[in-house]
Amino acid sequence: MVGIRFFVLKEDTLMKHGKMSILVGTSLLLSSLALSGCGSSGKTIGTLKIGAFDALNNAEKGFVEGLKENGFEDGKNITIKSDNANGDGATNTAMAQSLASSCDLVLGISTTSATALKGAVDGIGGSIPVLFTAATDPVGSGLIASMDKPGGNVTGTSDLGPIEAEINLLKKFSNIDTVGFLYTSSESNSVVQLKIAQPLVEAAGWTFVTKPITAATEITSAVSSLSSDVDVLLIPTDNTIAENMANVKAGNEARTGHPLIVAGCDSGMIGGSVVAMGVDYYKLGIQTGVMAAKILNGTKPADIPAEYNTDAVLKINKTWATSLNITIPEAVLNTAGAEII
Amino acid sequence: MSFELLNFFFSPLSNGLIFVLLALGVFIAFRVLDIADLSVEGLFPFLTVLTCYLIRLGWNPLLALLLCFVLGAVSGALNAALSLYLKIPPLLSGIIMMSVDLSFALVFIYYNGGSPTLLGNYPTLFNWLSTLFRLAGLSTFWAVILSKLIVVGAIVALIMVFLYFFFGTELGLAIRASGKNKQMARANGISVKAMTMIGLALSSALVALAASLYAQANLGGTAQDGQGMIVIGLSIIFLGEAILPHHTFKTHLLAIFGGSFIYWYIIQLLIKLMDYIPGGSNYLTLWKAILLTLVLAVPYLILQIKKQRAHKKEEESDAPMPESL
Repeated sequence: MVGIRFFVLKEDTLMKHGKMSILVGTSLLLSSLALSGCGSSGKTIGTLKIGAFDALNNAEKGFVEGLKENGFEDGKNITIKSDNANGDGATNTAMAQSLASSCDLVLGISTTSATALKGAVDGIGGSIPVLFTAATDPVGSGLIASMDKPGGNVTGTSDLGPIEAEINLLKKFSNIDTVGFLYTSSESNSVVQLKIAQPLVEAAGWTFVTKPITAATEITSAVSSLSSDVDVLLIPTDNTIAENMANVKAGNEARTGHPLIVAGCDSGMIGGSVVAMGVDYYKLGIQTGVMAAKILNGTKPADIPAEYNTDAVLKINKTWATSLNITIPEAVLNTAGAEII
Repeated sequence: MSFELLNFFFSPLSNGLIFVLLALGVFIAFRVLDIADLSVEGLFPFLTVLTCYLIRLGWNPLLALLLCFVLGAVSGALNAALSLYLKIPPLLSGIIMMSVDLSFALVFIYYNGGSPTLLGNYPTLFNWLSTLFRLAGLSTFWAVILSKLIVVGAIVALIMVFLYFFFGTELGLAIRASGKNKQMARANGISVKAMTMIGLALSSALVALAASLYAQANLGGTAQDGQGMIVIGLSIIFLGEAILPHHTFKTHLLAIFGGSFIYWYIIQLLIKLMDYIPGGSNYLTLWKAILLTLVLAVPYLILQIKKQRAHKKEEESDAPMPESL
């Protein structure tokens, strides 16, 4: 072991100096610039979303609209800061900390952003209201104590898909034996819905098959490799799949038998699915905006029950069904409020 | 000072302290052993989720931290074993371990009812100290931030002193030698395999500590926590090396320590600046890339200019010198 000293010796030379002062100076100058700009009217509202997909963007737009309908407009009597973490966990946390310290009310769009905001507000011992939207299981994730009595400083809207309604709709089809469930295993919102769907499907007397994916690149092969027994492919409100519905379509086209695809929808999903039933994120955002307006008018968040999406949308893509040789029963087409494309 | 300003200066401090540990872990794998260890991105969320899960079960936070440390070491050793004994290229073995660790994170999320684990009012490592501070009359903000800085600071100090002395022992030097020059190390009777294994175990154990502290400081863990962690670790190392002197092992450790704070102040500054550009946060990654490039390139450019000047001076002073003979 004597020879090892040799490797260390060449590192023992002198240090450099002097660059730190430039850096510290610049950052101090910039930071004073950054902080001096605050001088807005009214209360500041911060929104944070984990990434920019249709569902979350729509929820954000709805939130702004909901506030506006109740007399709070960005730039007039309130200031809205909207942050986007671009899918990066550490940025999400840092943005949450920044918003928690500089806003009077914060909104977390998606479970990840809402939990980060709650953590950041608790972390600095603050008590500003935290709203959430597009969080599937707010009770299970510990955001609130219960939907009716949220308690604390948190309330909001859940985007839990109307799974029971979806399965009731499926009962109107005559030829179903096996139901497949396609979801992203790393998305907790999808796992929650899996746990709800499984007993319901099994109670209906159908076989339940799960098809978990870990990344968007696996969607096409996951759909095309589904067993031919699968008659229906159920897709929950899942961010990864929602973003890549085109891949579901491609996968479905690449196989011989085509299952009926039912998705917890929003506007982007109709492209790949035959039946889309689910949450309208824009309306969900408006619901949340109304809550925010109540809080700004003086109601305590603890007294505002958390809500689910009040009106689910049903969209049926008849053209796409015909090209896949899927017949949709009249009973389904006649469902009240169904939008047929 | 306003709340906003206080947070502007203090939240990068506590983030920075925690990420010193992550960067030291990445440093041992990347600089000392010369292995690009990608398992960090899976190990990190696994242990943030596990920490919260255990604390929610009623575990002592310190015990959860220690278990994470051990699990991190096991993960690192397994990663090394995959590449050393099964001849899987290190880059690939890192990816395999990342997938394994990430799967564990998903398993615990599944056990938690499919939800990410949020700590809320559960006790963390910082609770006893922040309660003490509050009893002493400090406001919640100061009690929480000071308890974080003190507890994490103590752990970081302990680890850095340990690393400094450890890499000066025969074992530590043997690990460094294995990373620098395998043939030479082998010729000197060092078991390169064993050294790589110990080194990677230590590296992953440090990442594990960072993950557990990150979860406790930010009161939650999700499967997304690992995204971008290697980039952050490497950025911190390069920032430290570009700006601070790092010619001995001791100063190299200190450069990483400083680099972590510089990184987090840059991020904090960018996030604040984005408030004044509508939709600015959509391009945060671009701004981050630009600012990091500037910070990394400017010191080099200054050095080049200085060198040129020195060169010119030399030429000038050379010119009047008469040739002898």
